[in-house]
Amino acid sequence: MQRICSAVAMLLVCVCSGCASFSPITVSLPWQKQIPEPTKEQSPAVQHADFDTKVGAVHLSAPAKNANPASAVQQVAYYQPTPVAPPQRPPYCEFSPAMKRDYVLPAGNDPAVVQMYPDEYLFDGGDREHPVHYDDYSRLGLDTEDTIVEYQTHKGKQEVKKSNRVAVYAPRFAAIRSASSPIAGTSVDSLAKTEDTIHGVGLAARTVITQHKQREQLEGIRMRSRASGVETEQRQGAVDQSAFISGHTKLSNLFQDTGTKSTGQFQQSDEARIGYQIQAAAIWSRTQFPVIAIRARSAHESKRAVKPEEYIGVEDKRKTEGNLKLIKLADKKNAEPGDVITFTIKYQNIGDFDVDGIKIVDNLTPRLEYVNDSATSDRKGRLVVEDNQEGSLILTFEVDETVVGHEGGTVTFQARVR
Amino acid sequence: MTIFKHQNRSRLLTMLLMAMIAFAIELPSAWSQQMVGGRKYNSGNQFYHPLNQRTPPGVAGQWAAISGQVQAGYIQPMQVSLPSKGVVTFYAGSVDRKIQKASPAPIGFSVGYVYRIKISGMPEFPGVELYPTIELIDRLHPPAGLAETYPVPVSLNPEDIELALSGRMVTKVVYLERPQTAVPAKFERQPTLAITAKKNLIAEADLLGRPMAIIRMGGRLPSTRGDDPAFFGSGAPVVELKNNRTQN
Repeated sequence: MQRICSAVAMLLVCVCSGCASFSPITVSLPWQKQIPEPTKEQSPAVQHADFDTKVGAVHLSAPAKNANPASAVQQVAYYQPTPVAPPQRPPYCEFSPAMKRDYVLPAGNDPAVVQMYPDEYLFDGGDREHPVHYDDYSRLGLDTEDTIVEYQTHKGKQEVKKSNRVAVYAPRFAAIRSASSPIAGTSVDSLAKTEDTIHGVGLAARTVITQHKQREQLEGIRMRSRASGVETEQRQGAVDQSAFISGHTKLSNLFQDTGTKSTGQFQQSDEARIGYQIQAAAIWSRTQFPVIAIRARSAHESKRAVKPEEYIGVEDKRKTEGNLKLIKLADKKNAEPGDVITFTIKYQNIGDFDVDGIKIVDNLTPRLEYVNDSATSDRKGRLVVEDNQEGSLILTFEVDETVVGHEGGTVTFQARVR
Repeated sequence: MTIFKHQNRSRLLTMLLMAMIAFAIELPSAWSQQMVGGRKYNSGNQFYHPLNQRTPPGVAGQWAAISGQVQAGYIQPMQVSLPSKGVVTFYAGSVDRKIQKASPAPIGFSVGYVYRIKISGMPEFPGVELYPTIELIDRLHPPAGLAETYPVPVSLNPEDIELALSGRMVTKVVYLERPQTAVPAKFERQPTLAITAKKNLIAEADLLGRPMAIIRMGGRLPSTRGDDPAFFGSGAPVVELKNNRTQN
């Protein structure tokens, strides 16, 4: 049975392969790879449909007729590596006229491209590299391009916030050159054209450790103690003391002492007095009993509840602490050397309470030159300009006014692109 | 037999430990490289640069295209400028297809190729014709519609031409300055830093920014005994642009 099936299958295969030209249905098998006819590649006259030939002289050259690897003679004469895949047409021309495009590129700077190629942009704002921090005396971490705001809340807390980052497309190019002679081993070096781009001031500090010797010598102290031959004699003397307790009798009878002078004469006038005294003596002579006085004392507990009947005052509905938000804007998205860019820094207190002591600090990148007297502010204050030691300036806008909650202000300045 | 197995195991563990140590040593150097602009930069420029100014023309661009560093075939606007006035001739594939422009001459070149140009008609150098080559190894990424506004400038100054006329081979690398370390000054012409030929020009340019183009200029002239098509390039696409920029 198996043999019959295999024979039938082989017969079908033979029929299909042999009668392919006759059958209207062609079956292509894997081993029947059809080689297409070689088509002659012709370079089109206009290879990029997006170009507008009416606008200007747009000319697209045709690629080489022979895109294969160069011949041996060509390699000897001029080494030209063969491109991996010679493009038939420019695959992507960003400078095609926009109206002829069948797609729309996003307007402005693409954030992903900005992040990918930051060396083509001028940045200002944000907090680059090390974040701004403080030690006891100074501010640290303020790099070029950084823009921050310092302020004080109503609780006395010092706060610092950074702004957003503004990107302006402004690539700048430079060249580096060397000239060599065909004679081996020689070189031409033009030192006069060397430009030093390092602006750091070299500080050489040398600390010499002086040798300090301290020598302490122990002086020999000798002490000698001798048992002295002093003898102390102590004699116990016998002390005899005789004490005689003398008897002392005192008899006083106050009740009988009436002070009556016993003169031997009894006068009538003394009778009453003596009688009274006798009566008194009789009273006093009665049995004297102790009189107990009892006095009860009880602790009293006092309770008092004070209930305000009326409360008069102003209720402060402010809840959130003062919080500044810093927004930086530039009037240009792309610039060339010599262009003037106007930067606008808006600060807004998004908290409820006031903030004081606002300082907006902007450390300009070396390619931005501050235009003198171009700074403005809608609140009272001053501008402090200092060198950032990197070829540009640090602008500090000090705002004198207190910014209440949900209000803000604006400062602007201009900078020229170098 | 057991001892032999133990020895093998200890040897295997030792090799594994050594491999881990080697990996740990290599790891920080890999981390120190910073990915900026699609290229690997190293702060100390410590890594090996296989390319230099003596590398044959075309290799740097080809490597950039192969590695995917740049979009192969992208047309990058360029601008060739001479000391003051003059004529710049571009060859669109062959010597017969010339595009002549007055300096500063805008042109669109494809990234990854080498182009031959001719400079002539310079009043400072009467009768002088030079044939420098431009190898484009990188591209710009401008916002939409601004590619022509920001071409890659190739500026040939009088010193370059004098050196070439004196029989020397002048190699220039045009690089995109890194804004944070750019020279804080405004230049009327493209600033050119001259260094000794013993140094690696591409490595130095990579340290200062992003190399965009390599310009080679010597005293070589095309053959007068017949056509020398290879002299004028490999037929890479050339796109003619309008003169819309005057400054360098």
